[in-house]
Amino acid sequence: MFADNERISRRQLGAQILLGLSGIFLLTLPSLPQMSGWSGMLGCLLGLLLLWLYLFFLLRKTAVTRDIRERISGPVCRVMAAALIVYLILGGGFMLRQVSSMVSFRLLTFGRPWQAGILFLAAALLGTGRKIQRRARLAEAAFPPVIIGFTVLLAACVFQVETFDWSAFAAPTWRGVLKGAYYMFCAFSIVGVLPFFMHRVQRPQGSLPYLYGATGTATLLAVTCLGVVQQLYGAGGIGNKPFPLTSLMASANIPGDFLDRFDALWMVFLLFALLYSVGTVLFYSQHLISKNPGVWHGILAAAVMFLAAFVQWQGKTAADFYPWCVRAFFMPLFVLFGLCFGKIRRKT
Amino acid sequence: MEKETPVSVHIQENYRYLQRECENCADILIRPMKLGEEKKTDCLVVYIEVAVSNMTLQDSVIGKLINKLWTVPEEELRDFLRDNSLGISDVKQLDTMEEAMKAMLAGNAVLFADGFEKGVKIASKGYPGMGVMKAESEKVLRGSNEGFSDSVKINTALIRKRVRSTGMKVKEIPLGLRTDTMTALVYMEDLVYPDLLKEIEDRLSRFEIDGILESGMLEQLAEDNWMSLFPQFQTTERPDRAAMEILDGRVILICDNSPVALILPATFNSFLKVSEDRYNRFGIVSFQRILRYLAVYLALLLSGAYLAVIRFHTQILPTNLLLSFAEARRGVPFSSLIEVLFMEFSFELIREAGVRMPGPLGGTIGIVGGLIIGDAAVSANLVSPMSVVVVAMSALSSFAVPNEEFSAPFRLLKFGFILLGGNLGIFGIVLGLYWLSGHLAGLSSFRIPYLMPFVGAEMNDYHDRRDSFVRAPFRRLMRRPVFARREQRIRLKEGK
Repeated sequence: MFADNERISRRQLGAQILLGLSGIFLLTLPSLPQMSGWSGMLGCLLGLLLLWLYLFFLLRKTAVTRDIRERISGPVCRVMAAALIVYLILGGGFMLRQVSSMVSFRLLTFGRPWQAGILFLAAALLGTGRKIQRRARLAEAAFPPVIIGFTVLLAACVFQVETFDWSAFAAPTWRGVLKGAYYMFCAFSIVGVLPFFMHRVQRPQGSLPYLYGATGTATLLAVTCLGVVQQLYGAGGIGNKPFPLTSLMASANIPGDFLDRFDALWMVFLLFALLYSVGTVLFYSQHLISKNPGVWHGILAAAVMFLAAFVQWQGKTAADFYPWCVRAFFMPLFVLFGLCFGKIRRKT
Repeated sequence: MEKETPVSVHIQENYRYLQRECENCADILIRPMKLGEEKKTDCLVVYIEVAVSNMTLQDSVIGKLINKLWTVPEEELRDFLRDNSLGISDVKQLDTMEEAMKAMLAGNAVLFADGFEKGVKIASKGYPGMGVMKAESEKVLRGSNEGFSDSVKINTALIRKRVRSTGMKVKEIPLGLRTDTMTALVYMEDLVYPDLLKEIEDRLSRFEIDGILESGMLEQLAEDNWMSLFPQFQTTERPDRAAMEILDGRVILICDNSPVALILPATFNSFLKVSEDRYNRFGIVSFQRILRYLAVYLALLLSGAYLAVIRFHTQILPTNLLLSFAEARRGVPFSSLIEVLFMEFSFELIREAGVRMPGPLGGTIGIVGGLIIGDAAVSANLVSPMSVVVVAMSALSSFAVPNEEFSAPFRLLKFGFILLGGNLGIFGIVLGLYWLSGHLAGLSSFRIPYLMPFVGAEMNDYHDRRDSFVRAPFRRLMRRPVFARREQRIRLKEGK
């Protein structure tokens, strides 16, 4: 029989990562100049390898599978938790801003982005809940149709390409590949929360295959997307579009003339995945703020996230700094902390 | 603790007790009589008038007993009663007047004799009931047509008829302070988890309520999440279905005066199964299952998605179809949102009227409402033909869901999706879907996830998925589902 012990399975861990990352990868990666050409695609694969190496050391060589609060001292734990909360809030704000822009540009032409953002946040908060098992089950049930939907629609896009001209891509350079690899590695920065939550996974030592599978699938989708988008629009064409893949989906066609365009169908899968991503951020923010979060923790996290996404100062919001903060500060901090985790003395 | 009054050896004391308790109960008869060979022994029989056979009839148990007691010598009468010398199978001796009252109110006759320190409960035909009926709400093309009746005894017998094993246990639990309704837990002792049984019993005893009149009341009191629209107990009117479920390790809860049994635990997938899914071939069953899953989504989303497309995303429609929609809506004075809401409400009214109207008129309402009103509304340009088609498809889909309690939340939530789709397009639909998915992911029924086997299927090595969206060939359904004890999961082995 199942136990109500607030622990999730390894499969559910993998499902959460895959569902949480696939949507945001497909939405944002194609528009990054660092991901263009062969350098970008090879960089994605190299970044994935780096991530796998990091996860291997994290799970097999450190004590990450035990509750961090039992392993390290209170002040260090709190500082790390605070850093994670800032990271999550900024990340959530960044995603919220991206989604709101896309929705108001593509779907709702009558409203402002912040209005779409409020609705999005409300749905993410209501659908998230406060129990880890609920989130995990949602991911486990939802990721197959979402990933299959992405795959089918991407495959339909591939068939729009008349000729595959790989020579049109810029030749790879070491600098470009390494830059792309680091960007891809930073795209997986959500693994920074693993030290705080791995003890909630049943038999966590065996989680590696599931994490490899999830991150590998997300990367494969991203690389396919990059290839198709660049084949159809060219490297220069991508830069002109805020969300290249949504433009691509508008031109996808499935035989049968059932629908003229599939971008609305594509939006269903994409929005669902993005709702899960923002919900993930809200969920872990609440649980970092309090071990047993109440309703108000979620509302507080959502409110701060909204402010980070939409309150501007000198034309920029807090969320605009998120990508730079991840590359310059958060990801190095998470990697160092995660790898040093096993070396930290037990609290006496 | 209730005060217990022992049965007195002096019959007059018992008589006074009964008169006091049954004052102004015209349906309860207290019959004094003199029995024994010399007609000297004072006796008393108390019973509910219509529940007990005519005492003089030779072929009734009580009639035979009374007639025999007239021939027994006075000095042997008490021993005769004590030793049940007539050999009546369902006779029980009662120590207290409270037990006697309970037995009498359950539809039995109770005999008291002067000088005998116990009351004698004699089973009789019991309260009038409807007997074994046809299962009206769970129609199948293949399989028995027997349905449960109002009597818990008959219902447990119908299950016992199919599971002829002493491993099938029937545990009776009286509930309701004033109604003392008999409920029965039916399960296979070696298949069910003891924790589950204990949890069920704990939940049933958690509430003090004056009366339980139907299994639906039990359901609402004992559910995990009573605020949810989705049922967490499954219902059935079919004994074969009940037998099938207890062989899968689930528990059946039967309530007296209710032809509906509860099956627990319940999952999303279990509501979309019918009993004949095990009787038919896997190809047909798989097709029907897919249809039912599709029906759930259509019932929930079709109207809202239609509004989302025609109000916000017309670019996805082929030009010819778009022109056809526009032509159909020409001259309709209302917005498409009002149109669809109007049609959906009308359908719900027609449905409700059809259920409440007696017998022959119920079908007529369907014809009048569906054909005449719908056709008249289109002719009068109040609604477009397309919205009639969409609403009709949505309604048909809700009827294709086998379990009415399970289709009801989708019919209700459909209105939410209509408003979301009509005002926010696909964006609104997805927001609603995410919220609904999160809610279903958080539901459980006695700690079994509601979305089983789409979640947690590794607990049974993914065998539960063989009987989910599609059904594997019968020879491949070798294991019981996750409800059964781990060591008892194998139910089918290949022959030697």
